[in-house]
Amino acid sequence: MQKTKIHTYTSYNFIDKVDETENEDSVQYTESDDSMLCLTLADGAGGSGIFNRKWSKHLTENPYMEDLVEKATLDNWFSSVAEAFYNQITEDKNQFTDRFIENKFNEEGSFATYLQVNINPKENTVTYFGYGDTRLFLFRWNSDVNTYFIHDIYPIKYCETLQDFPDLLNWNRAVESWPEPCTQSLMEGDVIISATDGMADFLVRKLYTFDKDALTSFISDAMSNFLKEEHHEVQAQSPQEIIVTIQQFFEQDNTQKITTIENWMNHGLIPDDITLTYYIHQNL
Amino acid sequence: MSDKSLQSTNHGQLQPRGGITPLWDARQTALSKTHYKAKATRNNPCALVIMIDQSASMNQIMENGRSKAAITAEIVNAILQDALMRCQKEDGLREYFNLIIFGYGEDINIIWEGDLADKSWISVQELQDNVRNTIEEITTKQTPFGEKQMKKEIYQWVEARSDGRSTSMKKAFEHCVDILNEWVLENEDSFPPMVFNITDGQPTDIGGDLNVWLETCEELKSIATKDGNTLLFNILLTEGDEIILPTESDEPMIFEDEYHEIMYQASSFLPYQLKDETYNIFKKKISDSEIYRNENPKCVVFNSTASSLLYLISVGTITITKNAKD
Repeated sequence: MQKTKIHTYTSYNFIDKVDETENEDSVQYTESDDSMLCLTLADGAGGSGIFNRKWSKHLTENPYMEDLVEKATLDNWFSSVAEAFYNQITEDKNQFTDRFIENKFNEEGSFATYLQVNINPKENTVTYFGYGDTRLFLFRWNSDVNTYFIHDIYPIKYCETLQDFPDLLNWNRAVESWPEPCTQSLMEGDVIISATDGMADFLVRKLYTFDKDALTSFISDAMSNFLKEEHHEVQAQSPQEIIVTIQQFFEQDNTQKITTIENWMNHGLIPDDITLTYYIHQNL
Repeated sequence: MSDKSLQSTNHGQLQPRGGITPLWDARQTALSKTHYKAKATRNNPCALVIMIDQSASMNQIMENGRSKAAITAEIVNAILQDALMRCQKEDGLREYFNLIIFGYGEDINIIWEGDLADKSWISVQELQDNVRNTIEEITTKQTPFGEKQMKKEIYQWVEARSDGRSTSMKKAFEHCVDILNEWVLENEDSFPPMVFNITDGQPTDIGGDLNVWLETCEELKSIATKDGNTLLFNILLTEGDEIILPTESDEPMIFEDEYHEIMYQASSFLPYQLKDETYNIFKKKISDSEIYRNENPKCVVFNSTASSLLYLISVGTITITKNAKD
């Protein structure tokens, strides 16, 4: 695989939806001139709101650009992207094709999760922050036992179940509390996988089924109890097996990828829009 | 408002699955962990049935100065607007619901008007195409980028009516049984039908035998898709306080008379899977969260629109925590 490249994939939920135009997930990946990598994922929520797909795309295309991630600057960034989105929709007369659409936009706004991952290959660091149930998995190689283990799962610590109502960004309301951003040193061979909720929950179930003790420190007691009680229909996979599975997924062509997703759905993946990314860190 | 009396129900021609289900079985079904998980999709829409008491007693003026019939019309319009808004996407409508409304007084009438007057079930598109009246308001919203004035539209399909000389609620429920028995045959993979019955609580066509009434309700609740039994919500209009989804511990304080008690008994238990969602929708109105979580709430609502109950039907990523109406 190409050095420093982040592999991304997104697909609409082909069980319940008609085509890619209904995919409310969005993923963007940029590499700046100074080799900084920026990955953004957003999951537009279909349950309420309108223009969720456009909102999710808008968020991923307008990432937070400050070096330091803190609440005040995050609030400023969010206020700015929210206003830009509001203006974009309301100033384009083609958007409100009927009064019902305008009414729903004004009443409910637009909903999406957000996850941003900034990788600095020169400094060997990664910073990630987000809002909602779009998740990042960081795996690290343990040379003592020659296997990968979970180094972090973000943000999941305070969830009680995999069906918690996700926190969602809406252009029409300020964020009360951002989850704590996280910065980590990266080591050669570290693997970062991120995914929107359907796929992320699938991976959590696989990891829990494989070794619940290994997952316990990354989740709440309530989530642990939920997973214990849940009827698991997924095949257990070790971190290493998951990494190989995802790596193989990205080596497939699009037709093969759909077949793979269908196979996962037969083994416990809930039909949903699917967005998945994969990155293996190599020191420059 | 049109007055399209139904000639007769075809009650008895279609046999309900399994007949009348004992209360305990219905309760256990409602509490099963394996049901009430289907998502409403275009291929598997959910049935929404609204039944409106149009008897003369609904003419009574409440403490707030409005008639029960006027409040009922407001509740119905709110439910319909929420259903419409849930299906509205930027590229058009998604047909997540099949809708029907009928009123009962002496007769049972489907109360769609205008171009819908000959319809029974209607699509969401037909609902949108047949708004009877629109009220416009300008509201001020606090956004992350300051205050914004926004236009708000309230849609109306149904007007107040209370001219029935009796309350043929049992007959209305029997009609509902017939139409839902037909509906589930065509939609067996769907989320179970949701029935909202809005009344001040006294059927006059049961000969004073409340058990007859209960049996009719049990028959209705026994109609099932693969995802569970029909959910019967009774929305009761009284002079009392707003109460949402009471539990057994609420009983002594809510029952004004035996009819309220029987409506409570007749209503579905809130399914186990929907308890958390419901709590998040209505937590500001549920007085004791511990009692709510530890007991089995009934699908009963006193003096509230409760249109947010539609958010119990999943049509995508659940957003009710942040978006539920107060």
